[in-house]
Amino acid sequence: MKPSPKQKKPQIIRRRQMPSPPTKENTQKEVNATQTIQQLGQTNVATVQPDSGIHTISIIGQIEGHLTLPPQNKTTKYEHVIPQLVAIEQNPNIRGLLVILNTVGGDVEAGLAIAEMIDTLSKPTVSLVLGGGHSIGVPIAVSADYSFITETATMTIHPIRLSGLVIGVPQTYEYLDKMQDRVIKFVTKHSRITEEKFRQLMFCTNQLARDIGTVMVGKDAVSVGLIDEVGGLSQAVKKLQEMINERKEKEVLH
Amino acid sequence: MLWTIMPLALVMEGSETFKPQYREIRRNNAIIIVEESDPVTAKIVRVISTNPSDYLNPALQPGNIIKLEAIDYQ
Repeated sequence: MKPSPKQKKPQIIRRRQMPSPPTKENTQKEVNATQTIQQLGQTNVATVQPDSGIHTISIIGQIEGHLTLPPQNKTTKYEHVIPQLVAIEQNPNIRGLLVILNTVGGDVEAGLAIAEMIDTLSKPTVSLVLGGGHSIGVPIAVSADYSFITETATMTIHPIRLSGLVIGVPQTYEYLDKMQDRVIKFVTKHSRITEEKFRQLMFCTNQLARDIGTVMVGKDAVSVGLIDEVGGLSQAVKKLQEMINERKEKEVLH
Repeated sequence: MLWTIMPLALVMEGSETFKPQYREIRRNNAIIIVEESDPVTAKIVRVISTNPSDYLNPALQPGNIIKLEAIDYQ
């Protein structure tokens, strides 16, 4: 059956009217814009290139492992970080990983797990210590292929004790000692520091007021060989980009 | 360690009674931690993702109110 011109006309009108009234999408955009003004004080947030190839993980607050910490603690949960590392390893579009640390330490097993995962990642990794990378943050910082620390950032090295660092297991002195050896072995294997020097820093008695251990600020961590370089965000991203480019060149050659 | 001109008691006030109900949901490849206001809406508290552009996505900015889907409850 041939459609008469009378029947065709209303169809065209309907099509033209479609985009003009405020659709659900438009109102949603406006709502988003007002919310951004309320929360961030601006309407537009800068966007990054969709395929810069660099992904980032921030290790902040307490590293949370086998026990859930009370809600006022800011935590990095290993059940969040580990699947993300697996995804980074498998996704061909991700070319490098930047790990940003500002942590006060936390669960030894969870911290070591994250450190081992970053270490065995086949893609270039760079870590950047900002503010603080204390206790179990130290092995995570050294697990990357190249590490940076900002000038004002600090790292505290102190012995593993009964003060809640090891949780959920009845501890003996030998157990703590073994745990400590695991951390020391990992750190000395992945940085330029010697085991002797690391132990000396760990059991230093004249640095902390009511505790044994050492606090290292920025370039101190570099001079003892724990961290590779003093630098900030631009140096870290630049280094990662260089490592990614080197790998690309190698891939072309083979 | 806190270094502030505010008295510690003031800073920590209410931390004992502060017990928000958080829920983890997924949007694309990001984990979003939200605070439920009622069964269908929630406020974004934190974004967990390795993709830097997720943190710049206006729809995922912390503080935004989003609608919860049935799949978020699984």
